[in-house]
Amino acid sequence: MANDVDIQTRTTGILLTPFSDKSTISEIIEGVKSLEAGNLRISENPQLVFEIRKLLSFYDKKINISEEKDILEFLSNLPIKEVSVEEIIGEKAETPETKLSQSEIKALVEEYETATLERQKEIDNKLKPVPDVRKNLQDAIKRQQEIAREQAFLEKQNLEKLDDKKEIERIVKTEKVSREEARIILDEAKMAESQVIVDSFAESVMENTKTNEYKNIIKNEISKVVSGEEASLNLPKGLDPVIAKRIGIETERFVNKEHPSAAKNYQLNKIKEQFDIAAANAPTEQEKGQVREYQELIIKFHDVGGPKILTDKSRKDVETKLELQGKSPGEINTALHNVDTTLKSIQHSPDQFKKIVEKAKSLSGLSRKLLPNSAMVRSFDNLMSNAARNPVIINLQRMANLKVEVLNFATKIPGVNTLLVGAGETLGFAAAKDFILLSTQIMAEQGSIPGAIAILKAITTGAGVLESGAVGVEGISTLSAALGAFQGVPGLGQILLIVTMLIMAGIWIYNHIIKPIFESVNNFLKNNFNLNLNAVKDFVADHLHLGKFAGTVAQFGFNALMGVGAVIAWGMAALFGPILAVGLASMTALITPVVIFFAVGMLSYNLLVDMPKISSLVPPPPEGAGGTCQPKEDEGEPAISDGEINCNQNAPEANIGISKEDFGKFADDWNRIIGGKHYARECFNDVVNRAKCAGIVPEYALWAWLHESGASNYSIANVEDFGIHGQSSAPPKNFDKQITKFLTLDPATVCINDPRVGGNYWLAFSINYLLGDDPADPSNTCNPDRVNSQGNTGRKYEAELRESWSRLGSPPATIHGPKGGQNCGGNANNLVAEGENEFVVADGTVMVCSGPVDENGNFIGLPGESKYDPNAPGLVGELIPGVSCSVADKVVSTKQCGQSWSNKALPGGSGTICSAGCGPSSTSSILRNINGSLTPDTLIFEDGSPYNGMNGNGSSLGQAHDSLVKHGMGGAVGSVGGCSQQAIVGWLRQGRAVIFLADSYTGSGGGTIGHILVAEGVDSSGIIYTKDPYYSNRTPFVTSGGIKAGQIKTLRECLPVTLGKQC
Amino acid sequence: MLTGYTRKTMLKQTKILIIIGGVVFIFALVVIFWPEKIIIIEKKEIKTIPASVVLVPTQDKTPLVSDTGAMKTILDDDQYKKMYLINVLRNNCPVKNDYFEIDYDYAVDKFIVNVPVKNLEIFLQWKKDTGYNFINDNYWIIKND
Repeated sequence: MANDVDIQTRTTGILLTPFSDKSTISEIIEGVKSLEAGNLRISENPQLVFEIRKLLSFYDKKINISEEKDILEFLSNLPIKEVSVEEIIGEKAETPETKLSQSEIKALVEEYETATLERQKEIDNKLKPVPDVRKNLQDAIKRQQEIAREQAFLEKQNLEKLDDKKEIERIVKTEKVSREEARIILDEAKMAESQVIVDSFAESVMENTKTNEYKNIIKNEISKVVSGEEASLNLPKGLDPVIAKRIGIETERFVNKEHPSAAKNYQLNKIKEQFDIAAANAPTEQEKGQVREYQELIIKFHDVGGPKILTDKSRKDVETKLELQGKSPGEINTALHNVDTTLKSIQHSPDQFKKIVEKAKSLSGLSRKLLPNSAMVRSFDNLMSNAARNPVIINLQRMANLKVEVLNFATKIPGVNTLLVGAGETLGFAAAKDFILLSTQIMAEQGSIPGAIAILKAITTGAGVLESGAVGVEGISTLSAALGAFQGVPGLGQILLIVTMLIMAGIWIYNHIIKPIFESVNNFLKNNFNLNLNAVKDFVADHLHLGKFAGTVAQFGFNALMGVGAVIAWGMAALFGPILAVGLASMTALITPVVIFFAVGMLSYNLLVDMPKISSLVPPPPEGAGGTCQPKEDEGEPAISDGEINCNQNAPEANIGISKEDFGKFADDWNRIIGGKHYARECFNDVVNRAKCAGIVPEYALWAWLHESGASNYSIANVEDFGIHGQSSAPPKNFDKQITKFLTLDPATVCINDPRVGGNYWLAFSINYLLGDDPADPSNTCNPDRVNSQGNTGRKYEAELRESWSRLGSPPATIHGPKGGQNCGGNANNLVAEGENEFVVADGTVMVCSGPVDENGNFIGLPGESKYDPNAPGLVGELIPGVSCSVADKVVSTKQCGQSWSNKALPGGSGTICSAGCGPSSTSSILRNINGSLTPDTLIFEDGSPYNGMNGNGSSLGQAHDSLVKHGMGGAVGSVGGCSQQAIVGWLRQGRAVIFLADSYTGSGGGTIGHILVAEGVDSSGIIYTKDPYYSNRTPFVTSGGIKAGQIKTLRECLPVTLGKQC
Repeated sequence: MLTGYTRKTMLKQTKILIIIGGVVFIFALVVIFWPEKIIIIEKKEIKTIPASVVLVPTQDKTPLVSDTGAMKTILDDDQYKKMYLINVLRNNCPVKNDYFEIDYDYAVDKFIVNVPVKNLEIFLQWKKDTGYNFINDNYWIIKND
């Protein structure tokens, strides 16, 4: 201000406007920057310091004024810059001594309501300097109290608190409908009501805060947060920060404390709305009906309790942390939905879950393009389709559900809730926040299905990959291993085991073991934890709705089962004594007996009660080899509509010299003038994979695609995706037909031997590709200077080709390359006869699968069957972009899970290739380069295989060594022994791959497991690259940016194999 | 009483004995007083470099915790000891001292030893002292350049 002394000018010569509460944030920032430019400290300008301190206090920030960089960052991050300090804080300038922080003021305002008169006077004096802030806070508190009162009233009235059973009975009577229909009516009523509740809430929030601006934006933002679409409100920057804060607090309270049930119903309502639109848009009545069925299914799936991942208050923290780890918002959102879907799955009983999976499978013929394009639908669909084919998921869901039931059951018993450290706040014994963070991280890193498996395993075992639990990894994993071994007994055998034990042990067991054990345990728990095992009676009566009498009977049975459980535990302890002992030792003394007793009790309960409904506790026997199927678009299929791309957008991720994004940018530039939508990114993987399957160089297919149609830019009339012209089997704007025809052609063959071409492959190619035959003068067909109607010649076209190829590298020698690719319709290597990999679903859709199937789509082929074909060609490994020192082209990515061989049971029992096949998968990754049929299952089941006794415990590098020797690599393979990172680099630089055993991190928590994988390359800075059969192919050693799943902690053994030359 | 013949014979015998004794005496003197440098074989001292035995821990045969199917390779004791020593020495390469140099060639999986002939015994003694002599000869390539 004019009357203020410009201290800064006087003392330093730098002219600054004097600072006051009228100064705007921008002016303050400028002031700080000017001082910085003059090598001066903020502290040298007391007025500036004063105003900054006010802001720090208002925003409750504790930054020392000498930390100038932090101060500047704080100021720069303030949402509004062109308002004064006074406008923000709403107070007159005060001396720092009288200043109260926002939280202190709030505490005083809250205290005022219940304080004595004397204390109220004191508070009045303290708050005198900040009347506006006080008033705002008083309003907020008053409104919160009103909301609470209104809420209490509403809760008595609304459907949220109704007794569902009674209400359904009432609807049945009044509406004369079945119970199932009554349930649907009630659910729909609740969903509709949730819309009203949320709308009312949004209105009331704006009314309370007297907000007239941005009404629609605020309502929309509240809707997004309540529906779980966003983690927090993204309110307009022009909104008063105090009001914004209040809206945020009230919304969070609404979702998590006051109306969680309405929030859940609101989410379901949103799903319903999306599907209503999808059903309306479905072209046929049949498809409309299928969309409706799908709608019902997904709502049923999500209409369960359990953790609310999407609206959990820690979601924002999780997002922030993952963003710092380099995850994009899209990846995080997808991962969160995948976690949410996985956790919802375990809230269903195995029977229910199986029915949902089967129902989803029956709807597999429905085009996914007709479904709403939302992360929730995608994650549900993904889990369902994989669960239908992957028994591991079904089994893990069953075990995880068992765990949830145990927890739910346990919490019904007084005292157990305390014992389990608040089961409601924990999941898999991990704090909810950690669980959400770690599980989302796993999802983002490992993909949806490996992620789901990891999470289910973690819940089942109580630790596993998530590490944050109260139980040590080794201990609980060992317990899990022991239970897993018990599961290894066939289902019928388990029943017989239990029943036989019950009968034979009979009275003797009851009198000599059960009774004393039960009484002593019950007394112990009762005396120490006020825990009464007799509460089983109530549980059975409530849980099974069988009444008190049945509960009493069940109590007796449970006592017996507990005793039998103890016997089983002892038996297991004898069998797996040392292992189990290690496991038990690392569990807490309190949790161990409870978990053991309840787990075994529930296991028995599940076996005897639930078994008749579900086939077995063990994974269902593999239906042949397993694999994946997708609709085959045959001649009888309706024509695709104009502008609709029909590439496979779920094709395997491509790994070639150019990335998807770089090719997408290339296509953006290519189409810049023409405009319109192209499909370079959507169909990139499909083009590359199909080209590999056909033995065509992928870069050539990409070039032709871009050159001919701008990567399927359908805004061009009658564009031919791959330039196939005049062929009825490959019409324009039909990606699938065009590429199918394109990949069968080699235009160069017509002219390559013509002397005018001089052996120039690409000139021969260009002449025929551009001009085709010359029917008028066949001798002119291969003339490089023949001119077409646009004045172009083969020679010019070749020059253009080489120029336009520049961003794809340089043209290869020919268009032909080694065969490869994945899921090539089962015929990538001609291993499956024509038609053997197809079946027809109920609606007539022909499905094509990655392996031979029967008429019902079950994969056929006995587990032990080997498909070794001595004449199968070798496959080419995926290169590592930018790394020249590697043998990556000789190491074929071979995953143990998600492949046609993954579900095969191991010859020694108790496991599958997916669960324990890292060793043979790593070995196969080297051998498949020689012969594509040397897949992991072939290596395991072939005659004389070193893996022929392999079971769920896995295999060693010694077996990998022997398998490689068996397949003629005796001269290339070294010895198994200890090694170091330096040694691996040494071997790689000599052209050797290294199969190695290591302790791999299972996640950022720092836990590890033993794992076998292959090192295949090293870059100039010494970073090692791998092909990993389980985790993603990545740099295996922790370098920077924190620990990730799949990275290596400790090397144990190495097995070098010579594959290439020194680099 | 001795006859003249007897006397002559005795004198003759005495003379022979005296001659023999004298020869023996002289031989003994020659043997005793022969110069020492001719008859003493010089003792060769093998120089050693400071080295201690590499301790090989007992092979850990406890099963791994693995969710993907990894097991340790259980080697026989001799093979285990050999591979352990190879790993230790490989990690310490290159080894350089005044007498020899050792490096590991990853192309052939062997130790390359550059040692002058005169220091060969020193190298062998070092192998013995450290325990690396347990590593088979076919893992060593000796160069005398």
